[in-house]
Amino acid sequence: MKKIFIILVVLTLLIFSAACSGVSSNQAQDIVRIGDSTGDWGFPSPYGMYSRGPGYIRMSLIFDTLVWKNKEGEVIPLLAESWAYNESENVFTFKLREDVTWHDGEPFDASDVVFTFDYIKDHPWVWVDSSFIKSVQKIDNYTVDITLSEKYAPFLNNIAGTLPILPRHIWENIEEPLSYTGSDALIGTGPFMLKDYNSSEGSYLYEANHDYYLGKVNVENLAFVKISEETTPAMLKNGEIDAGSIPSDVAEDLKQNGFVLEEEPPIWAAKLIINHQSNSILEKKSFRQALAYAIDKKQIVEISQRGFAVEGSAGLMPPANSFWYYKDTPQYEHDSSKAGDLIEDLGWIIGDDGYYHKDGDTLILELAVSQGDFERDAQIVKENLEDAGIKIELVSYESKTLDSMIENWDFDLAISGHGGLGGDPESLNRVIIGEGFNSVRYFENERMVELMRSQLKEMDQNIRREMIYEIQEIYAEELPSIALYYPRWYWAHNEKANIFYTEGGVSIGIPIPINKITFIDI
Amino acid sequence: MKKKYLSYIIAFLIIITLNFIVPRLLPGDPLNAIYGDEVLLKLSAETREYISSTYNLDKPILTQYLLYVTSIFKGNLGYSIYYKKPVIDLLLSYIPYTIILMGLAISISTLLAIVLGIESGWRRGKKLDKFILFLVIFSSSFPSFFIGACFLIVFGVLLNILPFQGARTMYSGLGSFGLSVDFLLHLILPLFSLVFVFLPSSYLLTRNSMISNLKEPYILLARAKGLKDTRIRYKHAGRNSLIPVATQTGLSLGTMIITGTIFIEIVFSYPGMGSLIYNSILNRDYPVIQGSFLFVAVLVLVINFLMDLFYVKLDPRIEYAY
Repeated sequence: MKKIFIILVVLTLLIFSAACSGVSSNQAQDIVRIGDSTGDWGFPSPYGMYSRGPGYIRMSLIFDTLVWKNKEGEVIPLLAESWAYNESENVFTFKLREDVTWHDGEPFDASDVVFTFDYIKDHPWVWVDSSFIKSVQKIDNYTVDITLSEKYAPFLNNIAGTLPILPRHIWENIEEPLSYTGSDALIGTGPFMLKDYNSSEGSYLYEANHDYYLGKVNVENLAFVKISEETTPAMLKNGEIDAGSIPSDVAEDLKQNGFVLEEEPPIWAAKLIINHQSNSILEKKSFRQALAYAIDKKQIVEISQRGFAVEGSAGLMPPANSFWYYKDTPQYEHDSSKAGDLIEDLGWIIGDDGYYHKDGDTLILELAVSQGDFERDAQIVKENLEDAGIKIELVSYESKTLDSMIENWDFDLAISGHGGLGGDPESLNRVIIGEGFNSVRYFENERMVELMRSQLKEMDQNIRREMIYEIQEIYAEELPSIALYYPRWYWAHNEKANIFYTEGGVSIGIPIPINKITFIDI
Repeated sequence: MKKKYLSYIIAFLIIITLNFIVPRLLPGDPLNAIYGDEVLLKLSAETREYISSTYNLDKPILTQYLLYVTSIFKGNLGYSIYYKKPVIDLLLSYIPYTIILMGLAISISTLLAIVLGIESGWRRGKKLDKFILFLVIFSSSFPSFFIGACFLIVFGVLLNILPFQGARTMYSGLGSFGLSVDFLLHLILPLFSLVFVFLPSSYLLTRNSMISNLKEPYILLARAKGLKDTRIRYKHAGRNSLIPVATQTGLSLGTMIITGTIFIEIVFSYPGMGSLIYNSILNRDYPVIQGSFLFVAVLVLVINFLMDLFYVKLDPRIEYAY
């Protein structure tokens, strides 16, 4: 018995020392710590990061793109100091900076840019659709011509401002980028270099690149540490972190304690997804409009979201995306009697039980939600619809199971949501006529489909905006889904971490208040 | 005993096959689960094809199975689609935390449960027994995350005497001694929350078998021999009450690792297998699901095997059963 005990103690000590080893004792001075509830967002190389906004942000500290966005969302020079568009030839010409070096000291030039665009043709990179690129040519050491295969309005934002330029001298030898984590995989031109990454503990430590071409990096060390959102307020007050996303309910309290609040532009859409494809009741436009009248969005915002949300717009585009949002989009004010009229027009008759009936059938629909998400919203939607005479059966599924049911049109109604509506309206295409469960895949209105396809090719922003307005108008009329609300989310930070939200989102439209520009004295 | 070894081998073969089949029966697929949520991504047909072929998802299911089985015997657990690294590296980076946390929690809770159970059973119906019984039943009625949250709020936030997030203070600039102390301090809250979660079942089991053992004739004999109370309590009745506790601990180890730790890991943002398994299921990351369940299954098999050996020590009669 004693022997077993001794063996156990020795084993514990061994494992303990293994867990503690590899801990670098980094200096605590001049460090900005940012809390994150997930922690691990992958090895921060363009191919190693997990394909989500926070992964991109961690990568963007090390790698630079040709252009970038400032706080106001205006496109600003980064690796390219200027650019011009030749509409007749559909060519973007970029003049590159001549004073840029990679973190390993090698000079950066046009061949790196040409290489990167060629590389993503052979090794697709999920954030950029390389099919829009016809060819990339090096004109001289610091000039490149990018010829597009067709006109593509979001080019500057969604390609030039999204694609991180890779060092040719390193990546030209790498055949399998998804698994490459060699020591030179994180050589970029960005303001920071990675000092430590611990995937199991979900932490990152960056140090300033003192040779950064744009200006002095004003934070010596930048760290991301894993903490749950619920404990972020306590950790902020303890001074253990300098910034983090917080539960909305504690925002006011933190503000009174001297922290600065950053409100995320409410662009994440919670939607009532409607099976307009294979459900004979829901494929009727007027029935979907009846649903919109029956649902009291105000009640959902006030009760289920406790006021921390903005009511959904029938045109899907959130008001917070001010440049593209059409303020005259027709909306459906809550009105049960209007809903009733529309349902009766379809031949349904209200019965003694308070529900509609037709040919001996009761009007019953199943409302699916994923476990833990939207359950309170679903309760209110159920009550609203039952008040309007539609019997609702509420069912809850595991989230990915529900995603797959939605993808296969194996549901009646569901509540689900997605982000991505804060930046370029190309995302509208992805959620309306794209593939996959996040898209309503609605092709019934030819005019809308045509507008969606042609808006991408319209290089004049004002004409394009008119098209986006019309799309919202048609969407509100057709209602392939009903936007319920856009939640308000908050970050809090102290004066050490001077973070901000970027108008339209960082890069391709990532709604996270960490834009590397804030760490540079330009 | 040979039969016994054979049954372990058969169990292992069944486990690796189930491990392959079950994750694939879940609705959804890794590509949608990992990339589908993010509206900003452009998952074109070529990109899908590229990712599928990189992770062998485009091969026929039988080929995938054969690849999986042959690589297991080569010691290769595959490549994570979400984490983008070898599953074996992934497991090795998470397992130490789980072993420390779980190993200590199970040892402390079992030892404590045995002592409390023996004392409680010995004093059945007396004040101390009633008090311990009430306390244990009261605490067992709370779900594990609630106990964790209570500990966190009281000791971490209100009293502010213990760290409550993560396994250590990241980038604190501490020396190696300071780091070890820091690591231990971070362990306290999740550890004792788990002890509280694990304690009730072993306690109740020990107490029950203690009560029935005390009615056995050999206790009467021991008393007749004039042995001391403590000797009867621990050597005679206590030792015989351990067998069901040992069996139960061995059997429930798998569930403890997966369901017991996951909430505690989430509440305290503590790294470990629980959250790894949870994330891999959420992302339909087949290789990681397979690898981590394989690890848990092998661990349970090994522990059961050790238990089989240990029983003989606890109760020599078992040897004659073979």
